[in-house]
Amino acid sequence: MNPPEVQKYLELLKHDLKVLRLLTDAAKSSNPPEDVSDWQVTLLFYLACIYVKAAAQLYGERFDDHISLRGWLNREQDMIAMTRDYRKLEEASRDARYEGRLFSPREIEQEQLSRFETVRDHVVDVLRGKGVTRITEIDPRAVLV
Amino acid sequence: MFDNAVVAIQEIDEQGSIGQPNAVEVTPSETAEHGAVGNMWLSPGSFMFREIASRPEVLAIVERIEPERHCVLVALEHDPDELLDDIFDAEREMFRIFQKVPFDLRVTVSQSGDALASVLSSGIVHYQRR
Repeated sequence: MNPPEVQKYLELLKHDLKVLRLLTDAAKSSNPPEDVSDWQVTLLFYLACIYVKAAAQLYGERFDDHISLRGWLNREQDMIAMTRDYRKLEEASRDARYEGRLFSPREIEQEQLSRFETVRDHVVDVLRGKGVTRITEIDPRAVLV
Repeated sequence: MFDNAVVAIQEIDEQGSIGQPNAVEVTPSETAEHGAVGNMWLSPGSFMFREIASRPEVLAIVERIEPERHCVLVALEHDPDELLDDIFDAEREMFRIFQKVPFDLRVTVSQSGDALASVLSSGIVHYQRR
């Protein structure tokens, strides 16, 4: 049985992936197709953020702001291996939602998705190591590529 | 706390070398509770300047001191992976050094023209590419 506070975030991942799929499908079917790569990258970042928040629960950490979370990621030895990728994705998402930055399909696939997957895979390993079972491993690549 | 700290603003010459005063050898591990590094006082923005301003992709490094935190903006022309690695490695060091100086590091490739001019007028300009 997973701790409820961890399970809550794992469930949220499924919902947010569904939102990413709805957005992507709607953008593709609009005429002309709409470039929503800014919000696709933003959602990718939030998926990564939710994975991290799930893991943080197991360390007794709860974050209400991104700056505190960044500090923890840069100090917690179990997390440091993926911190660069998390921060790259985070800053790309800030450019996306605050500055209207758009991303090419190549940038989405080779850069942002790859960064997300590094974060996801690392957090899943940490969760497993901490005894969490039934871990949600979402695959936004199947939605975006 | 740190608001009155003297912040070094230095030119970078055509070869990308940082001016002599900031080239002083310092060891970040020496002292570091409030941002003192060796015998130098640094702010988060001046630390980032020291780490990456010589890179050709860097357009500007600006620091705005707000009541809650120092906001450090690094504007890039391009964001190659290895440069981002260096920036976020420097950020990790900043979290260690500036334990009592909250900061928000923003790295952007979307600031140019008027937007960049506006950013440059909003804080301490540690570096601006000529």
